Amino acid sequence: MALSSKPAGSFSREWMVTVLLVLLQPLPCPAEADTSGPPEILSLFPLGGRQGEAFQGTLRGRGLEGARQLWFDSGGVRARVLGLRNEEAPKPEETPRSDAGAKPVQLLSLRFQVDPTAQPGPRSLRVITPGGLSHPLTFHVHAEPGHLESRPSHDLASEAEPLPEWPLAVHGTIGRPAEVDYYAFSVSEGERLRFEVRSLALSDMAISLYEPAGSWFSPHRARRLAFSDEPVAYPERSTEPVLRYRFGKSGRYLVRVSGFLGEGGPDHPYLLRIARDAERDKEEASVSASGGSEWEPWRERSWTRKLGTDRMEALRARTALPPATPMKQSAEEQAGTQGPPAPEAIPVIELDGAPDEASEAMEVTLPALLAGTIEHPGDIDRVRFAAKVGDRVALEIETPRATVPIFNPYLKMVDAEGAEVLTNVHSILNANTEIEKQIRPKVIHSFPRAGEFTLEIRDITAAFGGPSMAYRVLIRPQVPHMGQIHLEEDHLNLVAGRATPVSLVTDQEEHFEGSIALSLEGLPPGVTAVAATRAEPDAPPAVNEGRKERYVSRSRKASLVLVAAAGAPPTPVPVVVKVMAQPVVEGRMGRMTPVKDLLLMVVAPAATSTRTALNPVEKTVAERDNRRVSPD
Amino acid sequence: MSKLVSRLPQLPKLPTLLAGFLLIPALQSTAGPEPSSSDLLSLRLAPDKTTLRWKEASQQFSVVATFAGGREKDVTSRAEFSLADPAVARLGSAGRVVAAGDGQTWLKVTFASLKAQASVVVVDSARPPPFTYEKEIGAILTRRGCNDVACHAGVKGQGGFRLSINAAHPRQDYDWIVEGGVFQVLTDERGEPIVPRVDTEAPESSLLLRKPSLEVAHGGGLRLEKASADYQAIANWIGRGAPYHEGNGGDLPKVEGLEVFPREGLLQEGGSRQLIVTALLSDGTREDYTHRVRFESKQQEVVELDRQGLVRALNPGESNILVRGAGYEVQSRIGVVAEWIRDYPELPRANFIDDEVFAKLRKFNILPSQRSGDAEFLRRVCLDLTGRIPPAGRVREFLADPDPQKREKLIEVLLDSPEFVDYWTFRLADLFRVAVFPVGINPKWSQSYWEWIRDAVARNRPYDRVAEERISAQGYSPASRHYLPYLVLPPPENMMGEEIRVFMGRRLDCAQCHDHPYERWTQDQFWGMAAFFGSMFRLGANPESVVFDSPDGREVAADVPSPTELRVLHPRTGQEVAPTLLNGTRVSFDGPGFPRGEMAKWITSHPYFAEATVNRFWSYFFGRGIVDPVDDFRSNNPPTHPELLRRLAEDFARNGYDLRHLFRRIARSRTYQLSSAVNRTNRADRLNYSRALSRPLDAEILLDAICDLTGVPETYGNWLHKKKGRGGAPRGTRAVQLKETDIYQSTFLDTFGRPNRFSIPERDGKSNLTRALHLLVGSTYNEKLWAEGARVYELFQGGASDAEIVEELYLAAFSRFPTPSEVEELERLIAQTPSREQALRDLQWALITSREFAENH
Repeated sequence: MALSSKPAGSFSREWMVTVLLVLLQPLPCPAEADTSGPPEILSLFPLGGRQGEAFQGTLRGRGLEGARQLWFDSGGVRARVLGLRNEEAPKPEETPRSDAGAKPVQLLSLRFQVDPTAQPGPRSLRVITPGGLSHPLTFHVHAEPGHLESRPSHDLASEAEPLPEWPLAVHGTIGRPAEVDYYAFSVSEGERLRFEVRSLALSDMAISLYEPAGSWFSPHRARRLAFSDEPVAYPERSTEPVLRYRFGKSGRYLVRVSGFLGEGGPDHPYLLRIARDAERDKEEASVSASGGSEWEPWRERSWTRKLGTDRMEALRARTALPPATPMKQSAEEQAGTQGPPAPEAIPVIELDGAPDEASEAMEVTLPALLAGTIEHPGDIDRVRFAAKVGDRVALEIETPRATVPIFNPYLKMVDAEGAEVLTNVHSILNANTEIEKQIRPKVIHSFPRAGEFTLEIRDITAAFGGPSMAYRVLIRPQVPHMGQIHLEEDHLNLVAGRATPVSLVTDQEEHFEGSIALSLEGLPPGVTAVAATRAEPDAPPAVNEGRKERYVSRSRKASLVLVAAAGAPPTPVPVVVKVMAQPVVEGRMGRMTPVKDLLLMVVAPAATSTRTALNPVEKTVAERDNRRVSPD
Repeated sequence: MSKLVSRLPQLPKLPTLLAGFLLIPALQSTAGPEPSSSDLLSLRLAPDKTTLRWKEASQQFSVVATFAGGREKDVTSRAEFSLADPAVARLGSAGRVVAAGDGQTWLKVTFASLKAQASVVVVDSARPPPFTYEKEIGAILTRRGCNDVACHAGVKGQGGFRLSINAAHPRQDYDWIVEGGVFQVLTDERGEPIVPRVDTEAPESSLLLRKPSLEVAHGGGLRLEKASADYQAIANWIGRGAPYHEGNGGDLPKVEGLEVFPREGLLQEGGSRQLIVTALLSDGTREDYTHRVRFESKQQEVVELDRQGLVRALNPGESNILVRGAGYEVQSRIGVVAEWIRDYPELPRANFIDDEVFAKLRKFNILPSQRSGDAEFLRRVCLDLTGRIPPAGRVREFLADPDPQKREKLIEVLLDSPEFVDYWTFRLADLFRVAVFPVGINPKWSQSYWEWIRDAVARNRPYDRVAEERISAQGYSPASRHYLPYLVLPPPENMMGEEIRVFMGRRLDCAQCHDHPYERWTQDQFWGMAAFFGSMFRLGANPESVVFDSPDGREVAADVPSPTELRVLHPRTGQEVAPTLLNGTRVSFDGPGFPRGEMAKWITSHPYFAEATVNRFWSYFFGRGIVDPVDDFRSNNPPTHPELLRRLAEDFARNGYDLRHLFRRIARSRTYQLSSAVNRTNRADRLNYSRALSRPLDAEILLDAICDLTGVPETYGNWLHKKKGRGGAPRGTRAVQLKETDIYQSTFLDTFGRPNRFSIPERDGKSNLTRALHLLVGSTYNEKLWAEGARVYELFQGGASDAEIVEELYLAAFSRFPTPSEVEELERLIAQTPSREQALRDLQWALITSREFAENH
């Protein structure tokens, strides 16, 4: 079955289809593979620039022939290509094994112009060549004056490069393995400064602060005052260091930028920002207030998603029911449980200051949004509530400040006798016959018995507490709904006359039994999408997946094939294609919901059609984080 | 190798040592022969009273004479004994009194012009002593070494026959002997076959006799001569039906402890002394057990003993004597001196360390070495506090400084230096095993763990807080990472064993499988402590794994059948073990906090913690612990200076477990500041801190010192990033600053004993062939000698004279000026060498390979 598609700018003719088992249609044969392919960018220097300034930069990459322009995901920055040259090839013995056989590295000279009104903050930058669109790098617009690292070597305290007055944005590079960069600056007594480093995804930088006071052993010895290397090695957390320090006395100090374990090389540029802490706070607040993109991707099971009083409405929007119509429930639910949520807001119950004693647990009625803090080590907050036979609830947890793995909220529901009913810890027995426990931000449960229950909320350790350990726990009736939809691809370069498969995973939450229709909006002329099947390698099964249904959604895999007709005109710039999803239940269509904006280019047949799930840089980072990566 | 190099090792190594010898005569002149009777001050008998019960009961006495200067001497063999009432008791061999009839009498003794007496009471003298297995057969097995841990009291016994250590459990031993069976580890069940080791019908056919008398093959050799009284006693017992006791033997009071006299004593070379062992009985009486125990000298080249407890002094030195019997063990410490010091001088003291050390030195007739010279002190204190040899300029400055307080001031400067932070971070990182593989195979974790240690050192955080944080570490805290080696939680018993060893200095591991052979630690205690770690979980996968303890001691979310039992089960009984402190206190999950946290508090507030800590850190300054090895506190490895250990621990606790305070206390003591030069009285002493002991520099310190001396830094690449062609430690990084030991390649460090930190490091400073080869041809020793920027190269290029270069190198290497003769000799040798450059290379090589450089002295 072919999927309909809609030319760019013509959103009225939508195509949609329920993704069912569909046989792949015969597709056009791939054209002869060529040698150019899409561009691959390795690094950029400098990593950004100041508002209102023009400056030159260099983009390091491969396959940059014919690079004609850069693409930014938001406004305020322009770039002009000045020229391209090959980098001098390293000696074979100096070539990293991973680079053996790779295309030669090229240097693309650029002229950037940052508008005076450009909003400070990060942007995505990509390069466009006849081979297509590259993956993104981050370009930072800053308000502080810029400073380019000038000394070729300043990796001893005694060789520190002097900096002009702060606030300042220093652009430098950890240019070789084991290199560190020292900078000297002056500060007055009582100043509280913030030092932060931004770097590319491959890098993991650290900041150290020193007082060049010398020591009895060496006049050049600097005394370390502070150090910051984001200690949390957690996949979703930034490894960018931030260091705040209040200087007790006036004088000259040193700041050092270093790579993790001595990483270094031409692809390790950095941006070191030095500013008064309060001013940076203000700037961050301003950027935050200016808003992000027009819509936020749905995050069903994230510790930091916002759980608001309007959560039920948001969930309903992902069902196939009219917003004001009660959900269809099971027979036993209809027999007398609380009905589906009314459209009104869920009450917020503040638990801070509530008694600690178990016997004085606060009584609440469902649904309820509990807001509190683990105020001290061992603190346990409790609420009591009643439930009827067959009541089906979902418990969702948000950690708005400190989050996993620093704050690990542990929920335990016990019955009137104190017997454990459920927790948010998911146990499985893995293939090595080891017990693995994962803490989950969402749990669903159906009550087999009526009664009064107590929900305990605590940190899973008894060792931590404080204002940062805030939580919001939503207890609500279940709403079967379309969950998160996962699409790995960041962008697509389609070669005219060839087909490119794309895989999606759709999550079905809280016993959602309907279908999910997927559609693409804004496909360029000559590009169509068809449903397809795709062979998936069998994942090694866990020996025992425990009570998986409580803790994780059910997933379905879908596959689309994007076909660029042989005569499809190349796109000069990326086209934003909206991936949309729509729940379908018993013939009723739910609301069309955006899933992702996909950048798509059609390129001439000389270029290779590519999936660009993860480029080598991203892959390295993913490997470091131990995440699974899809095979190329 | 050039002529110069081949001759340099013969240069005077330590002129200060020689100077020390020259300074000693003033003290040596006070040494002299054995004191004359005119010096005799008093005489006493030990024990001063005794009660002899039963027929033929006896008591060994010892006569102790005290001479001027406080010296004591055993004169038992030369004293005259008499009894006031011979009807009550009679005299046996030297100093032994035997019961004769009921009543009370006085044992009188005369030596020279002095007299002493002791009360002797005799009761039940007509009745033979009731037989008990424990007192008779058990004692024989102890005396003969059958129930030694190396024989049948080992973990697995020997040949299926197991006895309790020193007859600690006589009833159990008796059952195994009389009823038979083959011992099996970890079970009370007897393995087949059930063959008794006694044959009451034909006693001499009993295995219990045939084996030790070598009538049949016996791995332990001849233990019981057929002609001996002990053999006959066992044979008779078997012939009587091998009873556990006879008559009212079951009512006899139990032994509740042993005492040995003297607990500490001094002998002159060739002298002897009788030890007296007394059993403390459950009815409050005492009984001579000298003939029922086993004696063992821990330093057999110093003293030897016979089975009756007579000590003979062989060579100067000191030895512990272990006395084992009735399930107990006590010790006597005996020193042997070559000659006596008649007029022992008053020694200047800086603090209580000196009070304790010098008091023992006086008791043991040892004169401490002189106070070290400024140069010797400077080098030593810099190495001990910061791991660095002082720069030449600072040496000149310090040596020229006339300030009498300059040592104290220098100590403060060093304690406040960034190099101090580097060095003690390195020491603690060693102890706490910071490395990539033992810390989750995750360098992000190992680095945060290292940073946690560094922060504690830099901020001088109280050590009890550091220990408590590490033991009770939870969540994603840096210290919690050490509980995830290889990404899995180790077994509870392993985690517990390491924490106890690191923070209490005890090795409980033996008690894992059986009651501890040397100690009172039982298997129950071991598993009770292990249970504190039994409710630990790992939550989440790498890299976000979190460590936590189950809130209620039960498995959280036990949704899947566990292949391993969460609860800690006693391996022998199979019963669940509740978290129980060594003192027997059970800790429940109901209270505030969590059991492991409670245990951490208990450990850090226990006297063991402070003792173990000060002992460990003391060893870094003196080359050995007051208890040594530093993490092997046990009754048969006692402290050399128990009172010093106690006072140091008290002082440490009283001052907030402040390591800097402890280091200051040590470094300021005169004991620490003694010279390493020996005198005639302390040449054999390695235990009593009468002089500074030379210690080889640890690999990292040595490498840093070579880099400092030559002026050529080392570079360190790490193999984690090798495959990607990047990574390494920043330029100028010193070996002690490397955060992880297992990812930075260094042939030098590995050759010279850098531990991989997979287990608690035990460094070995001993020389070996690889090290010797490295000295000769290793890159570190040869390639740093001449390079642009190198010290000698720059001096050479700057036109320095040979004498100036020699002086600079001596100051930088040895922290002292060369002697005029050294300068003269070296100038001559350099002049004779065709190439001046080669001569200077050789000179450096000779310096860095010398013991004076490679040791802290």
